[in-house]
This record gives sequence, structure tokens and C-alpha cells, in this order.
Amino acid sequence: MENNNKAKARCHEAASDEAEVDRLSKLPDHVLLNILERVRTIDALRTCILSKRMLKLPPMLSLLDIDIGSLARYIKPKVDTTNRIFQYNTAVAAIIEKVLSARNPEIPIRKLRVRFCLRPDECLSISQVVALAMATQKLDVAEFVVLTETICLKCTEDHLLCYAKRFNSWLGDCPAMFAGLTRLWLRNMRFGELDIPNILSACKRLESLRLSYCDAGVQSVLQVEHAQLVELHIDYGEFEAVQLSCLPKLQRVKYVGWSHQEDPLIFVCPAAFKANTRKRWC
Amino acid sequence: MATREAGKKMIMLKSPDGMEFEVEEAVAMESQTIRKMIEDDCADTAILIPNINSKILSRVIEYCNKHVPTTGATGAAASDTVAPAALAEDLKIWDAEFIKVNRATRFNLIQAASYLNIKGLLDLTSQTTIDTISDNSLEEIRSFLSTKNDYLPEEEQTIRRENQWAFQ
Repeated sequence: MENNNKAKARCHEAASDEAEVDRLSKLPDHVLLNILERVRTIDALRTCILSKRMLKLPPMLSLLDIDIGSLARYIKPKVDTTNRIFQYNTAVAAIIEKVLSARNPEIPIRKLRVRFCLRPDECLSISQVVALAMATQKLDVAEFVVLTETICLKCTEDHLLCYAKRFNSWLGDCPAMFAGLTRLWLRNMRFGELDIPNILSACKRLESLRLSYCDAGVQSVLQVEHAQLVELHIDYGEFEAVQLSCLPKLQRVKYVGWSHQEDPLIFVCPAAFKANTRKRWC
Repeated sequence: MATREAGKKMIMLKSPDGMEFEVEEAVAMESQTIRKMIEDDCADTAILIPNINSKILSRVIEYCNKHVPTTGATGAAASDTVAPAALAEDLKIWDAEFIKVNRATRFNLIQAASYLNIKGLLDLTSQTTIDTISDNSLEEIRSFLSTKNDYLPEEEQTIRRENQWAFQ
């Protein structure tokens, strides 16, 4: 009798498991997308591999955040660090290409954020697919967070110069893509005097610029002039001053780790904005 | 089930399995779908809620009862006596208890929240689901989400080849 009951219970369990199968796939697209847009894009893409029904969803995602850091957990690292960065960066480029080349053009991308390493081949391939996406569909926010192979604390002057040179050459190769970027975060670069103004004039839609450990040489003056820029954030670097010229939309300026005695900000053309600078002495 | 109180407009919600729930209009209007029906004057004496059985509907009503804004037409505002932060904290704890349900119920709640358009409930149920997606192997995610593998063997091979990173 007891066995019989157990068997019945098992039967019942099996039936309820059967009823549960593929419950997720039965949810409407917008509900599934709502769930998938809450996780890291990498996790959303993995989840979509689970079934044919789910595989139709990635082209409809409107929030895309492809981060080299989130790939590290899924790709078995090779021993050598340079190879590992190459491996992860290539994967970022491949995933971006896959996701953007299969877009449903009727669904705008509300935000695309890509965090990757400044290496010429991957940079070119990423910017080509992003430029194509910019040309063929609505892309509200396009953000690049550019890392370098050597971390800031280990960067020598040569590293800083080399990374700035690499960036300039990339900018020259992909003007259309940079013209559509809205947010850019660079680090570890020592530019020439005219390079940063050149970046600003190339990135016409830019609303946010962050420079970490970047400058145009020791005691250089950064001149900023831009029609769309809302936010300027600088961490460290060797700027002696930041000259804010014509910035009609600027709302926030932050300089962390400024190392000189005088006030870092020079207002050439004071516009109505609130400057929020925190001085930290090094 | 809600009890009638003086001065509060009540409406009747019916589940497809024949159960009737009398709820305050303000509670029912937490659902944007029902709100629209009431505002468009489509709501008769009773509103039939299709596809949501009485068990799930009663849980949805329980959620809406808890989340309906406390400052009503009667003027008796609970937030006058309780600090908003404490109220929000109380709701958070209540939500965490509310969502301790089995998978089937949770998916039914997602479906109900989606159909009835109750943003808070959809956020709560979706958030609980995603906590399982991150940091688990694909097979674990598959089992947790009860997603059927509908690939043919050769299709699966192609998918695995094209997305090697995802299977590691």
C-alpha cells in the first residue's frame, strides 16, 4: 500500500514536471526580453542558445553591454597574459559582430556599451560593425570603454605614447563610427597637443568623455570645446589646467587626482553649468 | 477575499475556473489592463480575467492589496505615521516572502503580471528568474528555466560550434 502511494506520488511528480517543460518559452517576447535585459548581455546570449525559440530573441534586445570582463568567466584562460587578452578581445569582437549583424532593424538599440582592449585588429572589426549599425538603425546611446593591455600603474611613458598613437590611428580609420559615439572612456594615453581637440571634433555626438591617466604631456593644458558634451570626467594625468571654452550643454565636470597648486579649471566662456570638482592632492 | 468597506467602490474579478473576487477598485487598478477597462467603461459588473486561474489570481490580488498606494480618497494616509523609507523596507521584506513560490507558480505569476500589466509584480518575478541565469552552467539554466532543447542533433552541433565560449 505504502509502495503504491509512493508510486502514485512519483507519477504525480513526473506529470507536474512534464507540465512545467518549456514554460519559459511560452512567455511572450516582450516579457522574455524584459527578463533578458536585466542580466549581463553575455548571460542573456548564453540563455538564448538553449532553444530555437529563444534563439530568435538576441536580434530584438535593445540593451547591449558586451564587456571583456564578463567573458573571462566563460572562456578558459591560456597561461600567457597577452594571449589571454587577445583571446577575450577577439571573442568580444566576434560576439559584437554576431549580435549586430543579425539585428531586427525595426527595434532601436537604446544602449550599446562595449568594453574592450585597444588592439588594432579588434578595434577595426568592432568599429566596422558598430558603424554599420549606426547607419542602418536607431542607436540612442553608443558607449566605448577602451582598456589597454598594460594597466595604469605599470605604464611607462612609452606605453602612454604608444596607446595614444594607436588610438589616433584608429580614429583616423573610422571617422563615421566615432562621429556617432555618445560616450567614450579612454585610459593610459599621452596625446600630442592637438589630439584631444581633434578627438572632440571627430566625435560630434559625444555627450560624455572620461579620461583616466591621460594627458597631452606633463603640465599640458586641456582645451575643451564641444556642442553636445554634457559630462567631462578626468582622473589623474598630468594636466596643469583644463580650459573650458564653448560648452553649451556641459552640466558636470569632475577632476579626481589633480596634482597642481592652482585651480584646475579655467572658464573661458562661462556657460550656465554646475561644476563639481573634487580636488585630491597627490 | 476583500470585504466591502463604506465609501469604497468595489468591483468583481472572475477567474476562468468560476471563482469570483470582490476587490476595491483602487486595488484592481494597480493593473494597467484593468485600469484601462474601467476608464474606457468596458468594465461591467464583473470582469473576466482569462488564462489566470483562481489560485494565481488570488496571489495577484494579494500583491496588489499590499502595493496599492496608502493615501486614498478617504484621506487616511498610512505614510503619515510611518516613515516612507521604513514603508519601502517593509514592502521589500514582504515581496521577498511573497515570491518564495515554486517555479510553476512563478512562471504563472510572470504571465499574469504581463497580461494584467502590473509593472511592480513583473519586475519582482523577472528579477527572481534572472538570479538563476547568471553564473550557472547552461544545463543548470536549462533545468531551472524548464526550457526544452528543441534542436535536431546536427543543429545542436552547429550551435555548439558557433558559440563555443558559452558552453565552457
